[in-house]
Amino acid sequence: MSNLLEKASILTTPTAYGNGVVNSIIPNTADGDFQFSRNSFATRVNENGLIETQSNEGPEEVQNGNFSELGAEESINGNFETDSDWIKESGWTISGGTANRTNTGTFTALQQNILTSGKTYKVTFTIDSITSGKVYGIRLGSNYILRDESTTGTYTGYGTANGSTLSIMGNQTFSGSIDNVSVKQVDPNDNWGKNNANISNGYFEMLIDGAGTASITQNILTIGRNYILKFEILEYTSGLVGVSSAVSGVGFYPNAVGSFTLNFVAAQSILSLVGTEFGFKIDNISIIEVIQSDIPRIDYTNGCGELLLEPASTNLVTYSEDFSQWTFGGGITVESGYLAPDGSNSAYRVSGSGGALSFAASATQTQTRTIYAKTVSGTGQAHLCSYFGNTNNLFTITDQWQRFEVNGTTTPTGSATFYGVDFRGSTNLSEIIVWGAQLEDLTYATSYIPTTSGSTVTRAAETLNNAGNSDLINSTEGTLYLETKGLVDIPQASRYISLSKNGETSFNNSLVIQQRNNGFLRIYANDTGTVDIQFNVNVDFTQNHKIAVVYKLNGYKLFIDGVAQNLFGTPTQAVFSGLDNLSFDLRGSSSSAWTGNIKCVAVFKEALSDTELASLTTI
Amino acid sequence: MKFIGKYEFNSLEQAESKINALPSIVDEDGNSHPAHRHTIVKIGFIVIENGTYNEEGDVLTEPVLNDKYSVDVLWNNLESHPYGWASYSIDLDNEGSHSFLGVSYTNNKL
Repeated sequence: MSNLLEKASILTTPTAYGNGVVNSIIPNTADGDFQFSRNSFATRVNENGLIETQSNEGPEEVQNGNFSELGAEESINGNFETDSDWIKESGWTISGGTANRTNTGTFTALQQNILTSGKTYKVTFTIDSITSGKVYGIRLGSNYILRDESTTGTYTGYGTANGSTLSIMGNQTFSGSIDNVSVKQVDPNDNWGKNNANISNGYFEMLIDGAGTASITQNILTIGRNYILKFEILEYTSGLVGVSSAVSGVGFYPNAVGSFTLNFVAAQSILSLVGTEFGFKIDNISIIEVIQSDIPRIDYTNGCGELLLEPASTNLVTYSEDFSQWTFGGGITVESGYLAPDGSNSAYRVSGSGGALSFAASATQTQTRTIYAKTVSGTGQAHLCSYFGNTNNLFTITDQWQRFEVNGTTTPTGSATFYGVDFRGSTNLSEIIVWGAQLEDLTYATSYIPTTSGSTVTRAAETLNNAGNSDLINSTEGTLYLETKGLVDIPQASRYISLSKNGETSFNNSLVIQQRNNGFLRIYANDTGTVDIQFNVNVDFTQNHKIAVVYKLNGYKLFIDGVAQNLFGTPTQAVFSGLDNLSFDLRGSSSSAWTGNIKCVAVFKEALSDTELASLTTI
Repeated sequence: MKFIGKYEFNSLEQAESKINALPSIVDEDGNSHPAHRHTIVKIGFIVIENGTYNEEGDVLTEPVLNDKYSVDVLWNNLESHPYGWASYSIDLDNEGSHSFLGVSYTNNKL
């Protein structure tokens, strides 16, 4: 079959794309490329099975975002190989590869002048032996870290120097030996500006105690550009974290342990994370610039990469990932910080019995509800998405993430409410992990649309059109081949693929494949007269199909999955003129755009034989 | 270029009349379909004050709704309001109750 596809004049598989374009394999010029458009971001399942926002992302902008960068070794002769470089106060000696100290009855120190005031350092040292007393602490200028170490072992601490002298301070009675003193500057390139804040232990820590604010800054943004910010809150007591000044028009104040993501447009060049009250520990700060939104989606939901074309849809559930904003009925509790389908730790564990996690969504009985869910362990059943009294919402849930879909409700009771999980009724689980709730005004589910705040969010429709020219598309005979799977068996409005002549405003000179709003695949051709239906076949669009249409005067053929289809009625055989446009809509108009998963589309300048058609379309 | 407009119409019927006046195409069955790339979201009557519900989903207190019918539009390559829309446009200093994924209203408002 691969040889057969090589005969095509236009061949596209979802392998190559760019900003606003899906590239053809044949021809090797841009003449066969499709124009692609989607005016918003969208999500897809990537090749690793993770849900990600589809956009053209630039490189990482944040320097030292995981706070792990360390400078060169600052201590000199830290392994005490020679008796040099250290200032030894009373009781300290260096011999035998260690620094040794005897009980002097007073505090004395081993010192080096190696620090820069205002810089933060990571200090490591080992107590090899100890017979009495303790290492009172390590002084960075006059700031102490690593206080009261009285047993052998290796110790690590972080602190900011307020002077130039590093002092290893023994208490009055300390007798013992130390080794392997290491001193390295944290954030050595001074990437981060800090106010009431420290970098220690590989994270950023706000040093406030109930009043005021603390912040960390980096001058990395370009005003007016679109960015994605991600960071983790490792510890939280109270207060808020805000993304100050850099964000315009977005209220975003996470106040819990977890992973957080924010899309924003920079209003100034400085990224500033600000905390209030009792502060936070933050790690893994990332900023990626989003360059373009018209990026086609190669989606791996079905296991292999397919071009995904979807209509516009709105997630009518707000706080789709933040279940702490939902209502807990009947003793339900939620806990954040669990691994989610997007690879972050934003999933919630929901526990309880005899109650429900719900959200007043003003939903209707015909809308489609989805949620990602898994068990904490094992397998069990729970009512998801709607009130437990419905007959279509009891699902078997495993310890693997699945997206569960409920198409409408079977009882008006509770229909306005989105029940993330309802532990009543036939539920035999008392805890599950959930993520990504979605409510759509469609009869089927589309890809996940995150709503990270109290606003509903819309993903714009996608269009794929305007490939080809008159050299690549033969008007007198040819074959149009398509491998596709629809989003739904019966769409609410008809969807089209068309071979047509640019500039036609009616159905003249058009060969059209229509997924009709009655579940039929209809193919019609028109030259200059009334629409002439050639084929009308009931097809299950929820399955993947290979479809080939031959157009030729008195020679129309349709093969679906290797089977020839009968002509519809007695069609008048159309003759086209000037075909030069292949579009996944009505004649390149972006109207009634085809939706579904596309594996392949090809145009042949000849009418393929029955044998070739059967070979090409056999699943 | 993409721009976002937020509108408050007097009624659903008025909103639909404005939407239906945008370019459209008629299919072979006589059905009209939009022939533009604008993304139009009928938000409806925005909830000003949330209702309250019990665990059975029964309404305890009805939500309070705005008396205007709200529509958000992500305009594609349109740099001014279409004829008849401007007088119903509103100007917010925040994203409002609805947004388009990854596209800020405050930075792209028409």
